[in-house]
Amino acid sequence: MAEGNNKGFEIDMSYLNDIAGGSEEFMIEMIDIFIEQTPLYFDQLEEAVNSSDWKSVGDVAHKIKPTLAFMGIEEAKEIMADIERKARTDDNVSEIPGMFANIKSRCEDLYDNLNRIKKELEANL
Amino acid sequence: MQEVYLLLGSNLGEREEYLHKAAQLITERVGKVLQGSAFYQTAAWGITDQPAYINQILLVGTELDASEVLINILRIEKELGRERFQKWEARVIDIDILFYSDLVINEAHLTIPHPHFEERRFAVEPMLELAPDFIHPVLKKTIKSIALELTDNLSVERI
Repeated sequence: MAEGNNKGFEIDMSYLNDIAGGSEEFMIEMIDIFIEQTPLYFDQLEEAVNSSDWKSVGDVAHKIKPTLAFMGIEEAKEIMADIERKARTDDNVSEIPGMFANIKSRCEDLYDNLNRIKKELEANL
Repeated sequence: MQEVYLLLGSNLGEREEYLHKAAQLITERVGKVLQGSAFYQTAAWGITDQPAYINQILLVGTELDASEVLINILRIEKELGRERFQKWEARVIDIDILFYSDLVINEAHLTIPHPHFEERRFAVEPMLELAPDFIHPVLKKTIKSIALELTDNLSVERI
């Protein structure tokens, strides 16, 4: 993507904090779910993108969105929603591989950052 | 009590056993399973070297709100997923919220009804079995008429 931004995504815990009603244990659990599940969904998404299986791309992108939203990774969630919409409506699907490559490379730091946030939360338990 | 329709899917290992285990955990944490469809088998998504998917829809009576249902589903997926494989290419268990009574929800983390429902034969067929006259709250059509308009030609077989 010509306009592609290569910086990592920002994480905003305020939404999760809101849902968790301040429970650190709950927030840690949700971070764990994100850290465990997201790489697997990304693998599945990559496989579906590589085989131009747009139905699966739509389904997996839909599946990834909630945890991105919980972690307040708003920009990634928007891109994922766009991938889902394109895949579902068969609209400019040729753009999907580039969007996916971009989002994937920009997600690399997320796990380290979330682990750091998790440690801070654990320190408060 | 709200009625929530959950679509369960598995394409790895003892698939039927995972669906049973998931149903058990759903009963414990989401609510009583009021009805369950038969199991339906679908060829894996575009990938031929994987086992076929088995899907089932459960109708669950719940006192939880939709976000709480979602959170408990994420927990169940994580627990059952971790049970066997560190790294899997296939899905041990996949649970989607299709409908939550007749509510329409468009939140950052949650879209109900499931936006791909009407395009997926593996979702529509078991729903047709359970609730043919249920009215899709966005499309305002019965499951019966959605089934008639379905263009997804993946073969789905009741087992």
